[in-house]
Amino acid sequence: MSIHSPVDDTVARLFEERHRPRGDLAGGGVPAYSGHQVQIRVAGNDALRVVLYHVTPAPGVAEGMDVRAGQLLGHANVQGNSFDIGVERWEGNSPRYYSYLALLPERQFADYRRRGLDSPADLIISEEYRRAHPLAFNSPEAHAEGWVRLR
Amino acid sequence: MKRRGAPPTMRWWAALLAATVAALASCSPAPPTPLAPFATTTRTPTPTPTRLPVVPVEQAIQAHAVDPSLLDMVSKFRAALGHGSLGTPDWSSKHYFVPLPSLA
Repeated sequence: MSIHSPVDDTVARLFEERHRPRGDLAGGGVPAYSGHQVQIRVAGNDALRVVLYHVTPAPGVAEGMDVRAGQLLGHANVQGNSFDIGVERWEGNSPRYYSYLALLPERQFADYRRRGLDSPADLIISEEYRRAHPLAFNSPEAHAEGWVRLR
Repeated sequence: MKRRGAPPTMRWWAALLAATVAALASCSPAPPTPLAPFATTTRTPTPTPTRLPVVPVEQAIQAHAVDPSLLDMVSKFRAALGHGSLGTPDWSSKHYFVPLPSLA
């Protein structure tokens, strides 16, 4: 599955994501190496980073390189992980995360509409909802309600 | 006519003094010209660097990171996790994508 830069600017950071291996890979365990993390600056907004996790970088992709929206950066490294994406806004020393799908402009979100999603709001579990409906971390219930299957 | 070598007379000293004063007066500086008034035109201020306008991220995103037609499902954004409701700070306050099984 190819991974592309969603924005124009620069690869700010590129590094291997390494974790303590857990479990059997065939059974959904986590390998020591789970791809690279690619952090991309957002043109015109210094505090923002689009972060692509678990990427096998394409040849030539390196820190400091300029990228254009749509440019191929690599492929999803899904061995033990799903590909994921975060939009971080740095406030002081800690990031705050924003929903990538909620931030898509309508022309981009329309492609998800065609796959059965009605609104970005359908993709967000709010703090208020979770406080009213608490779950144990990583419980089967949390997993079940955390995903939306596309048509 | 005075005789050469004779001491100068009072009249001679008076004449010398008058000549010196006249010479000094002719060398006195011209009266100061009045200062030019300050320019009335407004001085162009040095431009100060301005921050670029902050571009909302929704305007910055111009392309899909993943082609949606290749996906089987996506995760919800768990905003609550950022506040520790489930005891973990951030791991799933991001979007996970799962590709179609045949393409994984």
